[in-house]
Formats: sequence, structure tokens, C-alpha cells
Amino acid sequence: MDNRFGLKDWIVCLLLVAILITLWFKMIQDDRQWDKLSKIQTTLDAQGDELTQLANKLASGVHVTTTTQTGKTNLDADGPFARILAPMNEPDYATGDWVIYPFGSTVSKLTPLISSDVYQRVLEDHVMESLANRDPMTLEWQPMLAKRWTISDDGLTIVFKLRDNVTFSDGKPFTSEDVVFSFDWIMNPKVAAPRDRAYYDKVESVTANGPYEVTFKLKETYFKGFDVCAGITILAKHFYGQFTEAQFNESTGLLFGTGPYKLADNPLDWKPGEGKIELVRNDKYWGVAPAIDRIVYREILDDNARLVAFRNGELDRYGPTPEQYVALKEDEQLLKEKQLFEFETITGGYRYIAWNQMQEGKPTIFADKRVRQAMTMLTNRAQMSKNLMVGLATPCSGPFHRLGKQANPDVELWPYAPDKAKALLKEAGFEDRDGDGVIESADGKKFTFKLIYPASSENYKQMAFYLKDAYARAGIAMEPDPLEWSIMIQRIGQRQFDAMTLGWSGTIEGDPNQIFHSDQVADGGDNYIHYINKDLDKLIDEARITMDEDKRMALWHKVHAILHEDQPYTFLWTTKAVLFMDKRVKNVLRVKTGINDVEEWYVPRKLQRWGL
Amino acid sequence: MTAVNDPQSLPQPLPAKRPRSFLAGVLLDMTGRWGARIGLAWIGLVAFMAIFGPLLASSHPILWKTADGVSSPMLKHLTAADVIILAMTLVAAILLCFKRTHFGKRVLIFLGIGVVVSIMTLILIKPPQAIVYSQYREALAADEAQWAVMTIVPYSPTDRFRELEETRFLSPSGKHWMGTTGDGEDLCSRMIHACRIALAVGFLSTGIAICIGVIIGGLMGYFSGWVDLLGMRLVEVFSAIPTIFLLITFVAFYGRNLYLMMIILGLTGWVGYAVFTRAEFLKLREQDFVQAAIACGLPLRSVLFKHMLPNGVTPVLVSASFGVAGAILTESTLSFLGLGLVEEPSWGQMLNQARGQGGVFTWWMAIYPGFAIFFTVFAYNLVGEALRDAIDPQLKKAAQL
Repeated sequence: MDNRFGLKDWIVCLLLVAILITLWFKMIQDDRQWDKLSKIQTTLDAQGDELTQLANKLASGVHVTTTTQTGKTNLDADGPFARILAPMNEPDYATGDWVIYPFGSTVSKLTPLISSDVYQRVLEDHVMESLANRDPMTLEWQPMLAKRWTISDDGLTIVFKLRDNVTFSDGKPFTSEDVVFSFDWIMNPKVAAPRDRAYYDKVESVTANGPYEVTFKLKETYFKGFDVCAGITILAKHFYGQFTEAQFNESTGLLFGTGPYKLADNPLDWKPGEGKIELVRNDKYWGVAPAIDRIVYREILDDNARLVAFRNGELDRYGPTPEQYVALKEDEQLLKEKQLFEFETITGGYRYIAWNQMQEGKPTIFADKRVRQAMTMLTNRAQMSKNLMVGLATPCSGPFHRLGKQANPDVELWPYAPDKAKALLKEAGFEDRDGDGVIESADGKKFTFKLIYPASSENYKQMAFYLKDAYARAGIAMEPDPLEWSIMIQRIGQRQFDAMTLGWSGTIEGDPNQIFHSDQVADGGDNYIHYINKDLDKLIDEARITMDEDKRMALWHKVHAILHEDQPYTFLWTTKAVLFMDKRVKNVLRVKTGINDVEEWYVPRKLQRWGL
Repeated sequence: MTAVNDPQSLPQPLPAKRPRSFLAGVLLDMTGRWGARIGLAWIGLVAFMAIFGPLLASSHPILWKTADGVSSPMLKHLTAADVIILAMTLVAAILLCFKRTHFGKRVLIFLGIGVVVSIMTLILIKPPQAIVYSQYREALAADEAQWAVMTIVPYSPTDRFRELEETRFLSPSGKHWMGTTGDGEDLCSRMIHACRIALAVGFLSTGIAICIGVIIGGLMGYFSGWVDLLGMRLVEVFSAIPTIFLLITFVAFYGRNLYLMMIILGLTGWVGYAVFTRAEFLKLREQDFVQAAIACGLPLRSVLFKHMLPNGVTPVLVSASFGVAGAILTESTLSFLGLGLVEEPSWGQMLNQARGQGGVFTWWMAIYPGFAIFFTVFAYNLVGEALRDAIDPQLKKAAQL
């Protein structure tokens, strides 16, 4: 075979080279196009920023020639949106990006009123609005869905004038009908909302006068009268009205309102256990739209998994466990990227051990006041807060936060006094009669009980073990019983527990009616320990209708003293909140109640990470 | 050569010794293998720890002298389970010495004594429930006790050293040989006491599974026909149950209960044994000795369990040793997920704590329980493989070639 390099081969080679060269040119051309495109993109971004700033300027009430009928926009700079409008003048202000939060439990219900955990509350605050809300800095009431209000001289009649431009997230207008419906729905005994009814029982009626005015009539004066009326959860009549009470009670995801965010899923289809819950910006929002596009709540049950996710930058906001806090506080690398907030507020609440006094119609061991006092004296709160809470906790003596006016300064903590506690238990008839190390009552009933606590929390587990060892010293056999969050809520609702430990979150002026009044024992109310003290009931009732603040505080002090004496709970401690925030999120500020809302935050365009 | 026909040159059977059964032969063959020896040695060690755990690691002194005289807090604090296990070990050791008595008879005696001892101890033994471990150390420090004889590891698995300021996550040292856990307990003590749970879960759940599997599989194989048809559908249904998810659901609804866990593992794990037994019995029921037994008019019980079962049980034994390993692994998985026991030690649960709470990796919490799980599962697998090799005649021939 002749193997010469012929003409044909030349042509093939040339063709190949030509193809390669064309490819090369094509690549150069693509590069140039790419450069051009990114240049266009940056100019577009800059223009977009300018446009948003311009729009915000317009919204914040700069006078422009406009033909709107009202002539004056409702988004005045000193209104409820002042704090959202403020950062819009920053040069790097931009809309977009997401904020990702962790939740330590799976949220089983999003439907308002019937849900009983704090996680739902967090979501509700972004999706639903009320007639008025408190300014986070001054704590004064400011108009929200109501433009203004008048309160009669006797304080029993409150008239709200509603805004006429408010729409729900589906575009339907909000009117006084919705307010009336909300009240009727809460007071409907078939609706499983005993917690809210405990507050609204003082409201006699809610009536609509025309589409944009509602009148609240109170039965008698109530110190929280205005708070309760102004803070009513607004349920859309056209949405919630389509369900029967039973359907509503069994629903899971019916979260719907006028707020700046809405549920990403259809509220009718939402099912628990997806691992995350997403809120997206409500495009039809009637007020000033927030900068953050989306708020994602990821359910990460494991303490360590949560920490890992935070370290990897998958979470923007993180509240560490006490032990994690000790390690993270010293982590220079982390602190470069994250901002640390430490604060203690009245709304931080307290942790407690609740002693169930009645089970299956029979009084339990804890029905005796002396036993409960002894249990408290066996608990070394100072040492526990030092070891388990790494000093973030301060032992407390009652349900009122020591920073607030309601707390009685004369009440002294029960001391850690095991010997006194043993003497009290002996007085109550508990002695070790058969020499097995466990004390018994006179009729041979052993002092053993189970303490239920949320299973996913390492901190609660350590606490339970600590308590077990402490009680063992007095001959009390306690068995730690960790439960899944949803099961625990269920058991508490059915009053099937001996003792349990959890925390209550606080409000600015707490109303102990919800937790300690004997009216709240029945119908799944929050007095799930069956604590009944008629003197306390009278004091609470009296304090609730006392409008004069000094007199009311004097009454609260008495309430505090009685609760301290009775120890229906062993009040453990109030804690300092510790919070890490990703530094890319700007305008995160400290306010009176903790940290400002997501609505006020923004992420500069260059730092945006999600949803691009 | 005519020697073959000469009866004198044939080896005469020894009249005094009974011929070895197939099972005994297999066991002897198996123990000759190195893998099996290593596996059995490890399982023996774990079993030793499981039986004598309370005597090896306890905060209660074996003996101590106080104002009330010499006493043994450790004996006083033995639980009913401890006493039963120790007593039955003693009974088993004594019975093993009586070689003359028939093996089946000895098993019966053992079981009989077991029932009596269990009932007695459950009624009589009432150890203290509220235990303050630090009392001994405090008494010794305050000179209220003159002397005390402690166990080798002088800490109980749930002793959290409350008299000391901080004992959480201490790395291994002379005092705590394997360090301490996130709750301040001695890891070495917990490792020893966890052996019992690992073994119990393995044996009990596999035991339940074998009982159910052999009975159902035996009936399926012997009767075949529509019994077989129904049985196989049952097998299909059960093999579709996801065990881990079922366990997680049960834990969520009915609380943490080790016995419940073992029962569920047993009730869902019998499928494999049933299929093995069925196959063996299908093969066996055509054979002459079974036909002879039936022809003699023996009752079904006798045919099934006395004649067929001993000849068909060996493949079940092989898969049982793998089953034990699987059950231990499942328990570890559940404990690792935080769904196991609350206070009592378990290897998986300790491994879970290795991840630390401040996000710090505590190596001693990972290495010791991790290796314990690994070696135990590995040991059962070694034994299982040796058993399989010993049974399979083809493999045996291949090995000899």
C-alpha cells in the first residue's frame, strides 16, 4: 500500500485546522459577549437600586404631583412603617435574598388560635396583622389596620376607624365584617381556642358600623382591655368562614391574613413534617413591602445538626444552646461573619417545673403545698443555672420578670435547703417506712413520679438528670421521660403527666389569669396542673379590672406572693437570650422586646446569597 | 486385593461412644476455624461483661465498714435482673458438669430452675430506687466509714458525680480510664453495662424471630399446598414492613421500652427463618425417614419437631448469627437517633454523644463505643460464616482440595 501524504489528507488537515480556529474565535466571541452581558447586568442592578430608592422616596411621602383622590398617602413617615422606611435611604439598600431560621421542633399546626406553641406564633406575626401594634422602641400602641381609635371615658367602649385600602393576600378587601367574624369565631365554644377565650371573656360585643368602623364593648374595665381589642387576630371572613368549627379545629395549615408575608404553599394543602416552612413576600401587600423576599424556617431537631448548619452558613439566625454559646463566643473565625446579640427582656419568659395536682379525678402527691415547697427547696437553682445554663440564667421566684413592675421585690427565692425540705416532707407524711430508700406516705404510696420534657433538647435532658439526682437525696425516685414535642403537647392537653418542665414566653404586662386562675382548669385551658386557690382567683379578678396602674401593681405583688407561697410551679429561672446573626443581613437592631422584625432588614445586593 | 471384603480390617465402631450428631459435628468443625474462634472469644468477653457487669463496675462498695459494722452495699443494690442472671449462670455451670445426664434433660432442669428463681427474685429482691451514688465517697471523705473495697471500675453507669463541680467530657485519665460522658458519667462503666443490652437485644429478638419463623416455615414446608400459599403471602406482607420506621413510630407513641423494641424486632424479623425452614422441610418431607415416621403413625408434633427439625435447622442457625448482629445494629441505630433508653447505657447512645454539645468532637466517646459495636457485629458475622462453611459439604470438599 502506498502510504504517501496525498492531497486528500492535506484537505482533511486543513479542514480540521479551520474548524479548530473557528472554535477558538467562537470562544473569544463568547467571552466578549459574556463581559458585555455582565456589564449590562451591573448597570441594570444599579438602576434597579435607584428605582427602588426612588419608589421608597415616593412612598415615604415626598410630594409629587399626583392625581390620587385621597391626596395624601397613608404611608406617612411616622406611621407604622417608619422603621421599615428608615433603612431605604442607605446607599446599599436592596430588595431580595432570603433569611433562614432554624426551628428546634417540628411545627404540627400553623392554624391560629388552636396552635399552642411559640413556633406558630413566630410565623403568625409575619402573616397576620391586628388593628394596632406596639412600637418596638417606645412600646406605645401605633395604628396598623386601624387608622385611629377613640376610647370612651369609662374605658368600656373602643371605636376603631379602619383603613380602607387594606387587602388580604388574595386581594380581597379587609372590612369591619372580618373583625366581627374574628371575635365571634374566638368566642364560639366549638372552636378549640380556650387560651384566647381566657382574654376575650371580658369583651361583651363587637359590632360593625359601616364597612370601616368597629366598636368593641367591654363588660367591665380590664387593664388589658385595649391590648386585647387592638391585638385581636384578624381572621378573613371569606377564608375562615368556609370551614366548620370541626374542620377548623382539625386543620393544620390555615395561616392566612393581611401581613407582608404569606405562606409559600397553599394554606389548604400545607402538611406538617416537610422539614421546612417558607413564607414569601405578599405581592398584594397594602403597606410598605419588606426587603427580604422569603423567610425560610428549617426544622432541625438535633442541637448539633443545627450548629453544623449554622457554621456552614445555611442559617442566618441562630440561638445556640448554653454549651454551644460558650464555645462559639470564643470562635474568632465565626465572629468575623456573625454578629452576636445578648440581651435579657421582660418578654423572654421563664422556665419552670409544673406539678400536676390532679390526675384522673384523684389528687396527686403534689396536691399538698408542703410537698411542692419541698420540691423547690431540693432544687439548687443557683448551681444549675451556673453549670447547665453557663451563667446565662438568673433564678426567679415567680411568673413576673424581675425587670418588670409586676414582680414583688419583697419576695425572696426559696433557698436550696435539702434538710428543711426533708423535714417538710416528713410533716406531709412522707417517710421511708420500709427501708428501700424511697419515702412513702402513711398508706404506703411511694414517692415516685415521671418528669416529662421535650426529647430533642439536650439541655432539658441534662436538667432532668440533675433533678433526678437532687431528688434522690431526699428519697424521691424520679424517672426522666423524654417525649416527642407533639406528643408532649397532647399529653399536657389531656393532663396525663406527673410533672413536666418547659418555659413560658412573656409579655410586657403578663396576665396570670391564663395560667393560674381556676377558671382555666376546664376545657383544655392552660391551668393544666389543676391549681385552685380561691384567694388568688379573687386577686387576679380584681387586678384585671383595676385600671389604675399603681393599685394594680400592688395587687400583682400580692399575686406574686401567693404564687411564691403555693409553688404551683417550681419557678426555675429567666434567661438571657443569645443570638447570632449573619453579618450580611443589615439593619438588625436591638429593640425593647429583643431584636427588630425581619421586615426591617435588608441585604445589600452584592452580599445576597439565596434565591438568585 | 481382597482386604476390602475382610470384615476384620474394617474399623470397628467404638461401642461405648455414641455417634456424634450432625449438629455436634458442625459445631466442632466450626470451632476449628480461626474466624469462629476470634468471634466466639469476643462474644464470650461481651457475655462475661454482660453477666458480671454489676460486680465489675459499681459505685457501691463490695464491702465497707461503717459505724453499723461491715456490710455490702453492692449486694444490697443488685437488681432482680442482676440476681437472676448471676444465679442462672451458676446453675448452668453446675449442670454442665453433670455430663452423664442427657442434654435435653439438663436443659429442662435449667429452665425449671430458671422459672422458680425468676419468680422468687422478682418477689423478694427490692433494691433501693432512689440512689445517691456520692454517699459512699462523701462518707469515706468524712471518716464516717473506715474502709471500703470497691469493684475494679468503682463507678456505676449512672453515677454523675454530683458532689464534684464539673465532670462532663473529661478525657481518659487514670481515674476515668475511658473518660467521661456529656452527663459526667464514667464511660468505662457505661461500656461494661451496655454489653448486657447489646446481647439481650440480639438474643431475645432473634430468639422470638426464630420461634415464629421455624413454626410458620415448618408448617408451610410440610403441608405445602394452600398452607404454603397463604404462608408465603404472609411472608411477603411482613418483608414489606420497614422495621426502623415502625420502631420510631412505636417509640413516639408508646414511649421508650427496650422489651417492646425486642418484640417488634422479633415479630418483623422472622421472615428469613421461615423461608429457610420451608425450603428445608420441602426437601426433607420426601425423604424416607420422614415417610417412615409418618407411616409409624407418629403425631404431627413429633414428626415436625423431633424428626424433621434437627435435620433442617442448621441453615436457620447460620442466618440467626447474622440476625443477632443485625438486631444489635438496629438497637444502636435507634439509640444513636436518640430513641433508645433514656438513662441506661447503650453503645449507640454513647456514640451519639460523641458529637459533643458545643460542637466539639470528643474522640473517646466515638472510639470505644464505635469499636464495641463494630467488633460485636463483626464477631457474629465471623461465627455465622464459619457455621455456613461447616455446613456446606461442597465448600468443605473445596477447602480440603
